[in-house]
Amino acid sequence: MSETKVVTCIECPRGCRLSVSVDGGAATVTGHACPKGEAYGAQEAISPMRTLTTTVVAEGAATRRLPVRTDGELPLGRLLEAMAAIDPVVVRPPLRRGDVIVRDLLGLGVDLVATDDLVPATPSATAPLAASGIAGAAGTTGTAGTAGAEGGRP
Amino acid sequence: MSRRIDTDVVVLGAGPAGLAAACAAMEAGARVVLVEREERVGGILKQCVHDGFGLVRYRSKLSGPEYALRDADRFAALGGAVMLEAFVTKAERRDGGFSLSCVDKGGVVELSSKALVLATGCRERTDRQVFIHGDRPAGILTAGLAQYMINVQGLLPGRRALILGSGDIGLIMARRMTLEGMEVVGAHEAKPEPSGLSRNVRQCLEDFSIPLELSSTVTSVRGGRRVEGVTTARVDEAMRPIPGTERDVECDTLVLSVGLIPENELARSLGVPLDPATKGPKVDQSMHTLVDGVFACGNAVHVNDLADYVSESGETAGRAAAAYASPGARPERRLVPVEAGPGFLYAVPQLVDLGSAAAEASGGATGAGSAGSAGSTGGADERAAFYFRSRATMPGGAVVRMATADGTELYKRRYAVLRPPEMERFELSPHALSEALAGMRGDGARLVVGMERLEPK
Repeated sequence: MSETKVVTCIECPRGCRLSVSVDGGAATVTGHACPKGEAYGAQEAISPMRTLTTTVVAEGAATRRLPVRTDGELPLGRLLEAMAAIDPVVVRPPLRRGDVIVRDLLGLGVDLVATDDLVPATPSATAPLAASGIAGAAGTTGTAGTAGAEGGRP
Repeated sequence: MSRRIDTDVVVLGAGPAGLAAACAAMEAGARVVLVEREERVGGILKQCVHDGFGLVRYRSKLSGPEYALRDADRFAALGGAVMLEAFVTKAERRDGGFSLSCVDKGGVVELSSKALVLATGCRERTDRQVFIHGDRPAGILTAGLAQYMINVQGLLPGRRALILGSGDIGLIMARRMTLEGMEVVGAHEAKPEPSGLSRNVRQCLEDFSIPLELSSTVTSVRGGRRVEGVTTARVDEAMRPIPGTERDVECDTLVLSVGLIPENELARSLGVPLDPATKGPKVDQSMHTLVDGVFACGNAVHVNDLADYVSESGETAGRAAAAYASPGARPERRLVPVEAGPGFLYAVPQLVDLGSAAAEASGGATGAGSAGSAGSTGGADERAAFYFRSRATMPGGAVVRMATADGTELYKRRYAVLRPPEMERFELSPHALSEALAGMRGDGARLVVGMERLEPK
């Protein structure tokens, strides 16, 4: 007994409208423009999977939150449960993008990883761009994640 | 005592456009000063913790900060100088270049440069710019502000939100607020179609069963100190509320996602002509505005869907600004307008400089100029990128053609579907441009880009 579902692909901004017919456990996808879309359609019709992006609390850092995401997909229906598991997480600097924040989230085999660099709240005297030659601009140079001008923040 | 800095290129704004422009200008050999208002570079990407950035440029799905850090790292590796928490209060043309008054923590800095790149991004339309009756209590905020509160400050803007508009940031925030435990009662879009990308309707609304009410708007806000509720109503084709369709909705937060407008205060003060369709400067294919030496890129020129194309225009502007600032004769600009037909909401660039196109074509033919030389705007293989939006949804697609005024076709492509929320892009080779040049003489020279609507099969 086959059933056809129409789903919008979320792999890229093109947003192809896919028709997926599921017969037994096997899905046939049409309307896709690339192999990623075909794989997405097949998965979506059987069990939708999503990457989770959110933030965690940062302490002692130049910023209050650290952006994070899962390094793989988890079932759509478990996103809120994952959020609840992430809620108590508190991180401290230094951390770099890609660093694992929570290993094996909910036992689903995916890790929660940092997607930004986290630097301490105190301005670093050796900011990489501090010596780059703008007269009198010391303390006003830096790149994302290296400028520590928010010293007063918790 | 004020400080003075002399440089080749000043780039205003260190979001994706400005970072790319600054990197490209430095790689082309120019001295660059990048000026940023906030305490970190990255622009709005710093608060875009969702993924989907970089699919075009890096072939991977990055979060906003990850995407911004790529060019921030590149800039740092080039030894780039950025002034943070700095703001340009005045810009003037002086001695064939520019004089800028800039304020930072150390006081006033006088910047002088040969070329200027405006990468000032865009601003959100606020409740002052849409017509809503009633009270103005706390709890009315733009989607970008809600995003800043949640993702940067770690604060929830409320408990129960209604979203007006269906722009991408509003859709992204519907999901974000839901994940953070808020209740999102619905998104109301006055137009008959969503303004955001289809994939965001899917993954931000449908994934969480958040209703999308099309042809529906908010007519008034009720509340004392805090929003207590709003009145929604259906609207007709002219987007006027239909009497009798009003509905009271209880909520403590109204999130507005009703459009973005390029930020061009400084451009105006320099006399840079703007395009009423894009609300950004008119530019040529090098992102050169109609004021010599002033370049513009990213969302300051037109509001893009993708950061990748913002960066692309930044690279173009940065390279061209470095070439402009380099010693030696500048090729004379021979600007011809690109006229977009009625099917287009807009097309960018609005002009093509056949002078620089000719210089590039001949430079390539003789093999002159080493790679990365500041005297080249990027080499003969550089293609002119055109960006456009259709005025209406064309479910059957359309054929887009670019031609000279006398009908010589330079480009033709069939699009399977066109929707105003989705920006389209095509490229024109320098060869096509020099062909156009060959056929064009006199004052009536122009390029025409037309759209022929196809009916669905």
